[in-house]
Amino acid sequence: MILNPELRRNLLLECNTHRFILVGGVLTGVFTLVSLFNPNGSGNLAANVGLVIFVLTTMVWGSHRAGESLLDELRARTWDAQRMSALSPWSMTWGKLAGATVIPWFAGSISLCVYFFGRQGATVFERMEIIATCVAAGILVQSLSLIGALVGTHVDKHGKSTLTSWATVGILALLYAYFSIYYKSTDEILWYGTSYNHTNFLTASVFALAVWNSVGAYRLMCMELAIATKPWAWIGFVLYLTIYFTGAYIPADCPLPRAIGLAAAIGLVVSIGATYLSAFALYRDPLTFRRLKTYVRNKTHRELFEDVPIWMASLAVAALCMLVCVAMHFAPEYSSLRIENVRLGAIAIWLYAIRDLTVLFYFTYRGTSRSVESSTVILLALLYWALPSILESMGLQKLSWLLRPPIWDQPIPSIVIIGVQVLIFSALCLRRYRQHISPLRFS
Amino acid sequence: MIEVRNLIFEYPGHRAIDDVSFSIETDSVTALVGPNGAGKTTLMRCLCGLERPLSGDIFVAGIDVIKDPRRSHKTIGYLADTFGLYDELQVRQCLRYAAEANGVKNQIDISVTQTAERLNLTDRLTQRVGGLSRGLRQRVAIGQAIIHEPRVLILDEPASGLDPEARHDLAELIKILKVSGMTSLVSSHILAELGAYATEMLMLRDGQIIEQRLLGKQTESRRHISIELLTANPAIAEMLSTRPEVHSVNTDGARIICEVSGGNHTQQRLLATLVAADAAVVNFSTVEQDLQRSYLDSIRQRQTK
Repeated sequence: MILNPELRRNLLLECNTHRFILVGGVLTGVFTLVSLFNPNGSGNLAANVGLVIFVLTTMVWGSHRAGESLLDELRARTWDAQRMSALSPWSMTWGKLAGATVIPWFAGSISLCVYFFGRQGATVFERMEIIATCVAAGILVQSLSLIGALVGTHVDKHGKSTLTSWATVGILALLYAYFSIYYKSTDEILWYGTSYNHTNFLTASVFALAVWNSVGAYRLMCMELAIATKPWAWIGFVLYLTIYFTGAYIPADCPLPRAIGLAAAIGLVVSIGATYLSAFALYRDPLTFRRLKTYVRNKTHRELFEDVPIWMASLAVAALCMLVCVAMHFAPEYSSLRIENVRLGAIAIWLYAIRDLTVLFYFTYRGTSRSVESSTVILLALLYWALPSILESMGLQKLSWLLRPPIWDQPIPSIVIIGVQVLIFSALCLRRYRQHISPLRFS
Repeated sequence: MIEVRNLIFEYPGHRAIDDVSFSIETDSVTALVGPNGAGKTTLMRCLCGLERPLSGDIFVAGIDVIKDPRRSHKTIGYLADTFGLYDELQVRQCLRYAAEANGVKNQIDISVTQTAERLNLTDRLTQRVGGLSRGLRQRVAIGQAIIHEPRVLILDEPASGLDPEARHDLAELIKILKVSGMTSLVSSHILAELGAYATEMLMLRDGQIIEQRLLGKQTESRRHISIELLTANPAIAEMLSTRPEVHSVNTDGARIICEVSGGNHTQQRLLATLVAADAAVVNFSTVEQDLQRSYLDSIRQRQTK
């Protein structure tokens, strides 16, 4: 008896004998062909084909099904009824994740069995470790797809956006690049000065990311099911990434002040990255600031904290990291690592983030939700790259600094220049807010 | 049963609900009426906790919907104007899922059977939902909304797209649900139909409640009186509007409809006043105020103001 109604409903929709027979038949055919065309009689080819089929079924097909499990509800207009149900966000999340992907997991399980029994020259533990990594990677990708669908659902309620799906693809590509480049390069991984076997470390990393992704899907589901949440999970994720990446740079017997400075510098980059990701991908309510103002005026602090967009939370973490980086101005230089020596430049980096957010909100306040993100990206590309490059090519180096100041070499003038840019864009943003958002039309 | 205080809901540059306050009594059927874009759907979604307003309070069965929307969902059944169903499932599977998802813990099969009986779906339980007619799908959707026995039922345009027979069935169903103790809020454009079961009217326009009134039976304290004159006489309408017991006066040619507070004695005194004023009265009677007329009266009064 399956207790989760969402899982049972998904199984009712997904499971039928024909599908199981079809998938089982196709896989049997593929593996029979592989064994027929394998002249050496080695099982490794079948094992490798098994892994490829696992990626194709569980990761590609399965992630598609995980996202579709939510998008199907929107298409069928059943999502409001689900939002009003008594199902807990966790039941809803794993009911969809496990139920909608049951056939891909069935195919993936057969493939992993073939891998396990066909792989030669590896111990049982090594094979089990690869299988565990594959399973974690499958959960990671599927939950990421559900996150993409949840974010898309939230955005689409207020206007179409294709950015979310592209952001999902981008994150997957980044994850793949990171794991394949970083972890293939060496047999041993140094993390906080301790050496780890790279396969073990990769497995642990993928597992941890899968857990964080599941937490992310759960928190977004809470938001959809009208369960108020505070942004602790997002802050926790930012801190986790900071600790994770800092481990790669900190040597053994690192002095504490240096470790703090390095963590703050990496934390600044991570939290600003998280701010951009959340501000661009999630729905930006043009009324956010009005709502927050109302909560402050009504002294409803709980609602204020629950309604704070998560980009504000990561921006606040970035501000803390910035302060620590600035404090490191008085510490000696420990290494030539560029990010470690950002120090006063951290203020400029933080101000850059503020400026870019004002640009994003400037387009958000346009009154139409179309092309907000693409317009922002184009303008930022002009400000960061195109215009300074043109000015530099014309020999106007100093003038190009007005757009792209040298924050590492001359942090204080850079802070002033970017501060002025923040003021200009804030004024434009405020003007547009007053034009399009603030005045109220009554129906 | 439902209490709303100073509710404000805004879209960017547009206030959809503007400082709305009202309350709805237990066991009533309230018709939520108003022109397109008045804010009916937004108001209903706020009541269901599906949208978070800018400010204000909403209480359903004593539960604060804004602070605790999840708890309020257990007491609310909601049918959206564009509802959806799982077409691949059978009616029984749909109802069973709705019961489980809405927290019906025990005797799920009995709940499914009873709901199917209530909605005349017993002989359809094994049919696929995708193969049902629009009227039957509507019934399944209502079944899903009421299977957990909510105390409040909110129906957004439930009659749209239904044929006359299905509309009649819907009206009968809402009456039955009222008898079983369910408080309903129903929005529709088909006012004559709402009038068949609504006990109260809530009129929304430009995001504001412009009127809330009882319908149907004339109460002892308020009644509508129709006065038919031999010929149209604006002076009589003018005279009536100055009387303290008369709350509203609407003229339609030689016919005057006024809303009067007080009982039979007041009615008798009003007739005596008319006779004393030498009004050529050819008919003087109380009228049952239907929804369509109430709505149009309110619109007319508002326009004259």
